[in-house]
Amino acid sequence: MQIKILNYKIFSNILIKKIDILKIIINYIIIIKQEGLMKKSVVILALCFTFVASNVFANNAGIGIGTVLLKGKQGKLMELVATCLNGICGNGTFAITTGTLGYKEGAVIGVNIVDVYVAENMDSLANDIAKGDGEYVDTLAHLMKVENKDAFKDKLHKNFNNIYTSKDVTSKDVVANINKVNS
Amino acid sequence: MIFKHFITNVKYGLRAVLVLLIILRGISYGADTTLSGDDNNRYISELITKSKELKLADDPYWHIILHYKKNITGGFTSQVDDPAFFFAKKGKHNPEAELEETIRSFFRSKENVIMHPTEKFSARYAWLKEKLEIDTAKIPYDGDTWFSQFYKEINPSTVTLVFPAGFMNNPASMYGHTLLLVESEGGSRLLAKSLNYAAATDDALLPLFVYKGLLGLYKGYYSFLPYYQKIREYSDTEQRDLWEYEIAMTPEEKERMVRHVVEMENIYSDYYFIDENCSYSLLFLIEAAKPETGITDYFWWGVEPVDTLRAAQDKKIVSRRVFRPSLYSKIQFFRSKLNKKEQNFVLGFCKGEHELSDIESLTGDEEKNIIMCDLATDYLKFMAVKKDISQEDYRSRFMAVLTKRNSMGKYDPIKDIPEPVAPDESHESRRFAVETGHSLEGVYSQFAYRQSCHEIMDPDDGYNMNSQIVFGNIQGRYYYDDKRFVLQRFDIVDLVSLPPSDSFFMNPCYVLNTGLIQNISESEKETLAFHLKGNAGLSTLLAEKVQIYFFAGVKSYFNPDYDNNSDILAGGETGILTILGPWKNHIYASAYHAEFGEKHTRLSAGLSERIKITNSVSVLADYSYNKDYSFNWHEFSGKINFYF
Repeated sequence: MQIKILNYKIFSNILIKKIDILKIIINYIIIIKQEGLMKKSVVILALCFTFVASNVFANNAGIGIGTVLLKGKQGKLMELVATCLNGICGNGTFAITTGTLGYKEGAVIGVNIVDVYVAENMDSLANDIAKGDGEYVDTLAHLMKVENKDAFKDKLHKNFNNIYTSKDVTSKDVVANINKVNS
Repeated sequence: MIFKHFITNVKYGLRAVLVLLIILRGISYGADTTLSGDDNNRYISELITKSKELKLADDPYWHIILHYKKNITGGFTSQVDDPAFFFAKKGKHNPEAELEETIRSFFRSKENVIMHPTEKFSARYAWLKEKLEIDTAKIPYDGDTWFSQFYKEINPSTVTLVFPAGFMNNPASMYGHTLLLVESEGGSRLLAKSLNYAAATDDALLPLFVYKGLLGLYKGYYSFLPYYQKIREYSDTEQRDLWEYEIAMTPEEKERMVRHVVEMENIYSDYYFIDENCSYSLLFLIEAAKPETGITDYFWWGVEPVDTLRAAQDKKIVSRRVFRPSLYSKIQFFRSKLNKKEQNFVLGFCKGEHELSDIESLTGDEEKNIIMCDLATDYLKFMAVKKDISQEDYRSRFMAVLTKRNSMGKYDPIKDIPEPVAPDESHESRRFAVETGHSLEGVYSQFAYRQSCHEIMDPDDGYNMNSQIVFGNIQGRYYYDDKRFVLQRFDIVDLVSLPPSDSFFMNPCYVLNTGLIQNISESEKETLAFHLKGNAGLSTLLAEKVQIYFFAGVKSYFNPDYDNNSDILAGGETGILTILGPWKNHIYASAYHAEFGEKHTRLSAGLSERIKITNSVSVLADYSYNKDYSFNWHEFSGKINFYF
């Protein structure tokens, strides 16, 4: 008897045109309550669901969640500002970490897009220059408004050691060296 | 405004920052109506009368750009929740009043206003201007002066829908996410602006976060970031392949889309994980460009990101599909080209056990040497992401391998990476299954429905091999012997993560399952119980598509009829999964023991076979031998799955 009621209620939920998981869960909790299962189970259920679901959503970028914006940044603007500003202090070195440099007021004036780009893509750009080709070096050529792309890439490729002079080279050095090589 | 800022941030600098900060504080778009005289009033009522004659408030396009959807009472409700989006007080529910007030707003003064309504509500303005043939000389300010300049700066070329596919360690990522890229003419895809729709939150407490997400208590906003940042986030940090679906758009369509982007900036809608989510909201931008597709009405059962890709394919608006492998996929591809010895050499170098200088002595083949260098480069990156290497070591080894690579030829092995099955070609998430079989309680027939999204025995194409994520699975059974209908199981969540481990990657595996399930009791009967299962383990590949796993963990069942209200078993499971074309084989065995309350040991061993018939149909057969308490029994079943 108990089971029959349960089935009916849960199936009726599915018949709703736009089924959504939440409704089922809520109904499910209510049903358990009505059917007199221990209160404890309900609490456990809720806790488990929370636990499972939070694990599901927390680590990854499931539906928009991995990309949650923090308040205070109120989104876009601050994030974008941060994006544009990262690296302009000129100490972008090899590391695939993001956003370590933070926002410095006033620093936005005089930002060069090439500086920003190189600082933000140090590793991938170095990889492309070492290979002699790739999307990152193509994009650099575009940003520097280079006319003969192939010659440019070739020049950088041949001068890899003059551009990446040491393991501690900074993005500013890299930009300066690229300009030297390209001139 | 954001676009503007991004492109010309050098020029505008702090001023733009200040302006935007003020907008963020919520200043309305335009002061109260400051009509200058009867002329304006007369023209306004003329326009309103005309809009009524043309029935513009009923026009589908008006509904699209204001996100109006039919509600239960037959009226219309906008899915946008921000009051700043509406001029009329009841604009959210009244397309007609909103249209009227929008027309009025165009006559507001431009003074002391950051964005005039004709600038901010660019799509509405352009559309009404065309339909009503508004005489721009008769309104105080023409927002298109600004828009045309702004549009020239963006100069959009390709528009692309991007889907980051699921990644190994977390089956939940199979659910996915989508971004919309806007490239500039003559530009590069890396620099494309990626439009992202996300929930704004400062809740650090995760449970709260999930509940609020399901109940729509968060505000979703659109945001913009350069695509290269997103590539780093998804491809390098999270090891997710990216799929780029280029959308064919005419210049007029692009303009309509950008106008709507301007409108939606800083406007929030309540965010629901299940349907009004990231992927769905991006479709409004596509629909504003291509109203004839009706793409936001494509969905029935909630919107999963991958559904939006299918919708786009279905509406035939995809012009090209590009695969961008993740760091993990690149590493695995390079490894597939090398033998064990060569792989170990690279691993040794990355871990600092030896130098790279004698790489040539290993193999005389330059192409192989190049592959080894590229593998080392990417594996170093991977170690850095995982923080398995110090910054210092990373830098010196990274430079060493690139210097070596620089001395070799220009051959680029990654260009040969094969494209896996695309996510839009995977089976669909909803599943209906019919099953007949024999269990402890006799012969039965079963019907099952699953909301989302992928099980281990479902066809793997387009998914990570051997992973599982199930939300909302319900099975009802009819027993012929005693003419009884029972709820066999109801899974709230059922996750299995089986990333293979080896010398390059070490990944724990886990199982998490909770819901209601029929549990065997001492009386040789099944009883419905609340079920919670958690396992942890390891897995490795025996051959390319043969995977073995081991799990240990706890299964628990709760029912007030049990001793202590519970039946808790601890034990382990093992199995081998083999894929061969459309056929998949799973051999499994498990042993669990309950020490508390009613003591018993549950053993089970069996095998299950699946054949994929088409993308939407698969058949399954399962046999198992089971033992519990003092009895044993055989279970067998045959099943047909339909995906839709």
